[in-house]
Amino acid sequence: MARNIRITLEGTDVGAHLDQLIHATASHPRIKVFLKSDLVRISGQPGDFTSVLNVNGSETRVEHGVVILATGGQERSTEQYFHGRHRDVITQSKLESMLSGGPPHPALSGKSDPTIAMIQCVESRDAKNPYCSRVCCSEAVKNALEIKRRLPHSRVLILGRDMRTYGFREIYYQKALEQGVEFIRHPDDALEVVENEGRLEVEVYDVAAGRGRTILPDLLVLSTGIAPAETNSALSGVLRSALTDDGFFQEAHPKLRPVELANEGEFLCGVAHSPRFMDETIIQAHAAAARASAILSKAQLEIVGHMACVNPAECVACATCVRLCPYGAPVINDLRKAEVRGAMCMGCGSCVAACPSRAVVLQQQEREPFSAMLDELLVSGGSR
Amino acid sequence: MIAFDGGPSGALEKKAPSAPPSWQPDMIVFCCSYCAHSAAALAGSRRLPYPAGVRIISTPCTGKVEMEHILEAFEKGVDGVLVVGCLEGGCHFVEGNLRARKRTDRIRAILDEIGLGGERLKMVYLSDAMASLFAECLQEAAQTIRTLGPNPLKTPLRKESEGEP
Repeated sequence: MARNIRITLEGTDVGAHLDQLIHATASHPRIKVFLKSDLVRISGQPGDFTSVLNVNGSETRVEHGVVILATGGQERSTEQYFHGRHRDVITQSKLESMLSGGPPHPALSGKSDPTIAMIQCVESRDAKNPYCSRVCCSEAVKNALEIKRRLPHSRVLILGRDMRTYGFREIYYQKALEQGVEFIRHPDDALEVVENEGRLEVEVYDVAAGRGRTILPDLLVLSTGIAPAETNSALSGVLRSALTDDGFFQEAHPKLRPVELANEGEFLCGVAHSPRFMDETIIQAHAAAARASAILSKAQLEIVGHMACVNPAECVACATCVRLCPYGAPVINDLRKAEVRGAMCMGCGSCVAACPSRAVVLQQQEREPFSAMLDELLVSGGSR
Repeated sequence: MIAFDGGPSGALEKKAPSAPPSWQPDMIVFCCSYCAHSAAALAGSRRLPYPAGVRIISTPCTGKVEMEHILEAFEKGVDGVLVVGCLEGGCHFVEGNLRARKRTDRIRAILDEIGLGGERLKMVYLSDAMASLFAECLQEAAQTIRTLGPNPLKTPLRKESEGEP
């Protein structure tokens, strides 16, 4: 996605930063890059994972200590508002690539005062995709400002249900107002685009003016929002990590473990997690890298005391624990007994309660102390 | 409490279980340490009243609550058991709370079968911020158990951990 972005709203040159980053990564002696590869399977525990990758049709084994998921996303494709059927309807990222030196759109050639209308939240914040993609309003404001800078006599209208240029980007919204960009707020279903003898007509109810308006744009730009990467569902199956209802990866806990997946030793950042700005992505990536370093920097990993243990004498290797563990900690070992890999166990006790032969014990939560506790609680009960 | 008048066990056994109006049922509440235990702590710090007979046992996840534990509690004379876990979809360990729901449903059937009454066991979902709901659920459960009366299995106290008398 970053490749389609010329410059950020704040004026950072994205392309130059990206080139430098790619060069640094590719030329680093201790970084191996596998492009166009799929993850086939992964096994192991934090500090000692083994993955099998499908690289151009051949399987490659890779040993690694952690996993960081940064699968990104993409601009959502749409067929609404004549997109793909009318030459003068384009997406916001297409406009961006035009502004960054791509071929100019034929509808604008030679005109010094074109009318450009942008529609926000296309296929976003509706029943199907209820989430806000966060970046589109700022992107629209950025491109509107650039059009105004190059063609001061142009007319730029931004049509939306709400505008939200997150955080301090509000300043650029103010700037756009000063430059004469028109913002038209409309109710949910009060916007329609019709084609009249090859010419686009936008019918919209302007909330501020309290009446309907008709706009005849030379170019109609759609802000379609960010869709999760198409590979997310397949990858979530391989990694056994949950996706949110919107199709992005779910962090282990929004406040306490914001850059970790539920499985130990696996981390995530960027649009794989949720739509976000590039600067926010970089900060999140730093956080994920820091959390990953906490594992990689250690020669030995400590295990919390809260851990399930299997008594091999009782185990009948029914694999109930293997199937239901959310973290994939138990395995059937060479002795045909279940064994809990300590580094992956989170101590939830699901296997303890489910084991039909009662072979699993959660340390510090054994059965005998429980019985004693029950007795004590009842003895000290005030009602007797 | 130690009874000095007469043989303690014999005297107590003759006493039939009855429910005086101010009777407070003994209840064991299994609290998930991520949600319900925090809710209980919050209820305490907000001075929300809940029945006096409630005893809280913290578990790492309601998915850890074994069926034997609940049955053992009833066997030892507890009048009611509540299992309180995270909201659906909010389990720290993905679906421990849903498994707990299945187990409690199963045990309720057993309780009905042996004539103890399935209503003595309840499973509740709530989040760590729902202190008032936590207190409300306990009040409600206590009220239900009061109408059922004391656990008929309630016997004179004997600590199992101390062995046979």
